[in-house]
Amino acid sequence: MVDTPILILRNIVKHFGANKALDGISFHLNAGEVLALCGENGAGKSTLVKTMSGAHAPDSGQIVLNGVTYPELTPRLALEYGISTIYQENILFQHLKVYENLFVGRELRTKHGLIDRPLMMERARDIMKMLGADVPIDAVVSELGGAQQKIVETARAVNSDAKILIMDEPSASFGKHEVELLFKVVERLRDSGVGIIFISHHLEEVRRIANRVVVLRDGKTISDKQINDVEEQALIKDMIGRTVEEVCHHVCSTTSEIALEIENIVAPGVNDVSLTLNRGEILGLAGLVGAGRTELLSAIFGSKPITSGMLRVQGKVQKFKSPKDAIDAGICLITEDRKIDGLFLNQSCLANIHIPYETKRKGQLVNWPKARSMAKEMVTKLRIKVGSIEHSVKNLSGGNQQKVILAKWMATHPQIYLFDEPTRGIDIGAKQEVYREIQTLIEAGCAVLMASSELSEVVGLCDRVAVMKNGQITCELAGADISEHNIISAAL
Amino acid sequence: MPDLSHTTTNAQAQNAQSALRLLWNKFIDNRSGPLLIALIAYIVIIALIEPRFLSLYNIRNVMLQVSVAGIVTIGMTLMIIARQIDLSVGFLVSLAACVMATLLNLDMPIAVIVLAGLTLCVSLQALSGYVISKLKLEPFIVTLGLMAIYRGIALLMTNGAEIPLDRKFQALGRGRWLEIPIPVFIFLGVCIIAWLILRHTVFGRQLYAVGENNEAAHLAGINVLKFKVQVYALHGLLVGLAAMILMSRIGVGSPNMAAGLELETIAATVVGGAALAGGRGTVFGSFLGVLFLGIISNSMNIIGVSTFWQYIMLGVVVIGAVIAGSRTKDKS
Repeated sequence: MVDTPILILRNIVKHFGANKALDGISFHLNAGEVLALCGENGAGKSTLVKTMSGAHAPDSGQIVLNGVTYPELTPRLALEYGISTIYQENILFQHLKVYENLFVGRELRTKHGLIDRPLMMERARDIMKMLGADVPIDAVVSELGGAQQKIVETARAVNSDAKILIMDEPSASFGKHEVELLFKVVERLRDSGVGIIFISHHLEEVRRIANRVVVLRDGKTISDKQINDVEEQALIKDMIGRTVEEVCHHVCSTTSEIALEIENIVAPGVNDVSLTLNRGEILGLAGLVGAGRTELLSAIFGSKPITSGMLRVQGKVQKFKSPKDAIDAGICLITEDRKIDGLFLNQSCLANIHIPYETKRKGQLVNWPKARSMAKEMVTKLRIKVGSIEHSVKNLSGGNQQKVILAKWMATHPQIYLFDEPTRGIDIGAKQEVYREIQTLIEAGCAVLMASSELSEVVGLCDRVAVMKNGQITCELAGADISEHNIISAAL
Repeated sequence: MPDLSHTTTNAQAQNAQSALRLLWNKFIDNRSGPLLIALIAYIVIIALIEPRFLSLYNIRNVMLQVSVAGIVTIGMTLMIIARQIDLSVGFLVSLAACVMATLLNLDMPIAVIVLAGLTLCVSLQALSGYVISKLKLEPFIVTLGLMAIYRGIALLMTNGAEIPLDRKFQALGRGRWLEIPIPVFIFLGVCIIAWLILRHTVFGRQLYAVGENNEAAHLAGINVLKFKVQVYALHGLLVGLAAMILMSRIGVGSPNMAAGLELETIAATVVGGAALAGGRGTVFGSFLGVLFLGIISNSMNIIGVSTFWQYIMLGVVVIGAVIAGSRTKDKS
């Protein structure tokens, strides 16, 4: 099976108005391989996925499927050839059971025309067995974890006889353990002869799962290499078009002044946690998904109630009843999922930036000229790429959206920044900029508590790392002890 | 010299043009723009069919007719921007009017009556806002229940009969100043104040934030519960004001006097470009919306179209506005 191209793209070009989204993409996919597709946001990955699934027709170029050449695909044609796409957003029916999800739209029927549940369950069980996945087929999907849900989506693709499976950042929100669950399934699928296109920002993951890696930049194919032949630095260089010395470059500026002190905090998902955070320090919170990191940050920020324990901010004992109290005390929280609870997506950049500021200021009237100049200043300072501050943030890239969130908090001048996954879903260039901003913050004497699942940024950026497990801190690392190996062994 | 004067007029014209553009941008977004054009087109067509439509008498009539619904529409606009809805307005107006009419017939001083009417509406609304937000209930269902409760109380209170005012308390609803009915001034005043609040106060900006994303607003430091109670209370104040004007204008308090007001005001708000999903809506849009619905009903009466057809026309306009709204792309 190996080295038989089942899909070939030749010189695919696609314009949206004057904007050239794809500018001559060429690569091929073999049966039984995992091909990683890497590139910054805006490199053309999404457009390319839509071209392969038949949603977009290219302006020129050829698509060869099993030796037959097409100028464009239609969704129906893509389906007939067994091209399945798993998009970033979950499209499962949350209230239906796993096996029902596998058969939505093509339910099996008895000879009387009624739904044949036993047969559907049997088939579903077979597919899960083939994938080597431990997902209960009669569980309701909403009760499953993120990785299990992606596995259900994969099983659904298998059930529709997928020959080519496109996975668009399937593991974007997963912890290490969940990623591994999903990868085991991907490997099984690969070994059964399915060609898999795997899109990811995580170079560690790409290295782990892919056989080959194709890098896109500005709508062009930049490189196409076997995974064993490629250095991480070279890959990054291909993606952003310049060399980066290190993933992140950190200068220590820790002071001895304590900014935040928590003692024996108990809260939902947090079990007796004590920490101190100094001014000018970056303290990392590592751990698996569900270890209690988000819950700890919420408890500190006052958005989830604290059952017992003590919290001191700049030496003063505080009891936060709501985020409002925490904000007044100089704390801010950059949440995990900016689209769900970080941004007002349909509102302008200006509105997003000035609302927390106005709220904290407790004034009654908006000073528009001042609000505008403040927003403009932030946009310039953080290099947010937006046509005008009046434009809605919905259409900004992930990196720019994250910077808008940073801007809205910087406008309130907090002393303590709580970050929950500071660089989730943003491209490498934007990541570097976020790292630089965090560095600037601590140099100015702020304190940063940062929960992250990305080990490279935890290791590269943090002065100290607290590793959490089951709602408790199992180990605190500092200096030379901070390594991926030590963190993982403490987290498991 | 002639050249110079020519340039001056040209520059003046340009100035006027840019001033006009500034005004346009200030009030008119990409949703109320088309609505304004549609409204003007409709007025032109009706005026061509029946010139009496543009008589001073009729314009005054239309404005008077939309005033009460207009005031409540502004309240509904605040609610809908905050992602709330209030189905109880019609019967709350009726209940408040019945209470005020009863007090009036007991020869209470006007100040007491006014205070009683406003306090009743503000406190009932604030209470329902508190319960809805605190217990995280669906405002649609709760206010549907309240609608029935208010109706029942008003019927019990009046035994189903109207309470005549005997020519008392007439100035508010029937008075005129410079030949323009007082309710029209109040309505326009409410619009201007509401516009100022939405545009220039922190409360107004927070309204859009809370309506668009409750959780993000909470995490941005807004006390969402307190905020929503304030929105309901403000809405209640407008409902109380509308009840007073309506009672004064028709000269009775009756348990059914404002039945259907909830649908009329929700329709006007939605025609004006507000989204039931919250976070979107403008005072100017809602003003145009309520004016449009009022003009349709008035113009149909003038050209002699039966009420039955008016309902159909109304429905067509509401659905048409929603379709037009869904087709307009956001500025980006």
